[in-house]
Amino acid sequence: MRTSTHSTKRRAPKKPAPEPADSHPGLTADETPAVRGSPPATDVVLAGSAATMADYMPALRILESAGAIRVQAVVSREPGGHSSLVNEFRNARAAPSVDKAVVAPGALVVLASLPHLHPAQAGAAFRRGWHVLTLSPLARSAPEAMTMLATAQRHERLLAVALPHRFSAGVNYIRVLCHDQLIGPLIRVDVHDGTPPAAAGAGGTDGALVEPGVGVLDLLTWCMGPPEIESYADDAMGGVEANASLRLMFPESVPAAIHLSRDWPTARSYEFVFERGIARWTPRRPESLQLQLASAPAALEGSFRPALVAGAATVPDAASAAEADPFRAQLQNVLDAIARRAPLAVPAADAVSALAMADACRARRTLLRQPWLSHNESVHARTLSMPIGLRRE
Amino acid sequence: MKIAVTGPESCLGSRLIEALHLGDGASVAAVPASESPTTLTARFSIDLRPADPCGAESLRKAFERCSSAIHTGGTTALDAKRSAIAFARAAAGARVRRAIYVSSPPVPASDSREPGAAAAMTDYPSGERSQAAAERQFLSECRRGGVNAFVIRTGIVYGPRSPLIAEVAMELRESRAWLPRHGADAFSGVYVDNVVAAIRLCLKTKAVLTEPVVVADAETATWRDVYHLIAQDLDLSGSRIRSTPSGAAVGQDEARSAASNAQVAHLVALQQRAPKLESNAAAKALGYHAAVAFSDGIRRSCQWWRFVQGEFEPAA
Repeated sequence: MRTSTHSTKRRAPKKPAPEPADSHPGLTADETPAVRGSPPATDVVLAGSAATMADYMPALRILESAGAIRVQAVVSREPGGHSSLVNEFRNARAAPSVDKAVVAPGALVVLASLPHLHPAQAGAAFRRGWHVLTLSPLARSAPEAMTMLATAQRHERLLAVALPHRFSAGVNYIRVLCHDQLIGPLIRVDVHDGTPPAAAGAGGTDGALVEPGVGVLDLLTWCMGPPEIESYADDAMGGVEANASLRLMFPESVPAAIHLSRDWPTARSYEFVFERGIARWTPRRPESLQLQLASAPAALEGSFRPALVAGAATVPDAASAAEADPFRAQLQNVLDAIARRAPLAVPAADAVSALAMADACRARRTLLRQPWLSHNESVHARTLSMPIGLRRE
Repeated sequence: MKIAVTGPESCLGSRLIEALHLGDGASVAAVPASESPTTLTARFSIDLRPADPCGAESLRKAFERCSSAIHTGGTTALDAKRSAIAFARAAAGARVRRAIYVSSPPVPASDSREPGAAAAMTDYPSGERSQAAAERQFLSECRRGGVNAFVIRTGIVYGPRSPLIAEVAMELRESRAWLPRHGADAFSGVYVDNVVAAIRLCLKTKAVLTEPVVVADAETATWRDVYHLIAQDLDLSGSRIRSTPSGAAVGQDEARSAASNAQVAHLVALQQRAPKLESNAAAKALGYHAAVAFSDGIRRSCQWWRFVQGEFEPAA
């Protein structure tokens, strides 16, 4: 009998050599790809352009480097609209539509396209077996959003909406101030938000009430509860609004004045005035806050760190910019929800109430006075601002 | 038949569309550059025809079924000649009857003149010489194509959505406004509605103009007048405006600020270089007169500034 010198035991597969830490610059030790035991990467499809995806790029880069995702396709309807995104991710291929992207079921598509494209693109994604994360607004109206929700449920896929302010340390701090009245009850809120779109693609055909309006309404409702609408006016004269003004009344008789603009840069400022202080936040620096305490001689401005404990021997470090990134926090939550590791923190149903509020605003809109118009121009502007059936020309 | 307006998102273009669409009830086609946002135009339900501002064929398609085409600027000195030629050829190709080209006047580079004195052509830097060349090419191409052409030269167009008004308002609010030579230099501005009035005259006149006409406000105002009126209309203290007897900045901080802020540097350059403009030729050829007074124009501009700061009221 021949004795084989070749072992009949199956050899264990060779472990790949661990990658040196400096091959993932910018990542902490926790973020470098684990060699064994880490969950498989989720395939990701990006639908939009570099401009509309800009806020998510740092998070996407980090998550791909960490092996949590693999960006497999970039969908853009404009020729060459996806080229810079494709170059950014080594596995990504360009596709002219969701239907033509070569990606397996179970993937996540991030819809950073214009809101009027969301229903069709989300429907196509669900049919492919993908989950969907749309940038806000989810849709252009509450009924449109409900239709998308129903389609997601029918296909048993997740539908999430990007509301990164809900993951922002600054906004959550304000939320606690509102709920717990740490510097007294809230007295009033003043918001100025919006900027002109940088290019035709980024602007789309939606007005200021949709972008940034729906996001603003969600943020305020998240902090203070649902409001009553006292008034709404904008400057649409047969088209869509470039400027809008809302006056809301929140629970406990807290008035809010909101100015939205896609016409001219605003301060992008959210000011909450309390009985014993003022808190001011801006989406430009979501992880910081300005705080004025009562009659203190100066305001504080800064980012966040774990709460202080009197007499503690050590003080925990503040989160890094990457860790504190609200866009990353939301993306990670969606990935965890897909893998059933955590519930979805911001399901799409949460976004419907803000859309319904925007619909209610439109139903009672009046025209903003534009004082540089002549009398005749103002009369005609008022006529054009009415629904067609009510006009008498 | 429609009136095509290029540069519809600019200070002049947006105000012109408001005036034509709301005031005259005219049928308007907005022709933005292909990649430009169209936020202001989108307030109306009007024909939107994006085109390449330097592409004759692209513009020709945008001008189809239009009786008139109006170029409201927005191109750089580098592109001025190309866009003027493309505009003229497109107007001819689309059989537009009237083409109106709104052009900024040449600004002399030298600061050796007395304030307010007219400048000679040889003083102009090459960028502005190319603007004058663009006007000549435009007129020549239109004549060749059988289009009735008008060139309107303006000073600094101010009014709603004017970067000048915004910059002065910001300077005053942030207490960094300053005036070289105590602001005594002539302000060569024209309120936007006065330019619109001149354009309306060009759309109706039977006259054939072979040379550019200058359109300006009636009054002789100074830069000091501009700053002080804006400060007054916006309830900002006049004492926030610093001034120097020479063209130099006030103190080190202001010098650094002026050097690093391109818009402030541009405003400083405008203050130092612009001559007083006279619109006698426009009055004679078109019957133009500046219907909106300078102080009224500044007041309306400040009303617009308050509007975009969120200080507005519902229409009555």
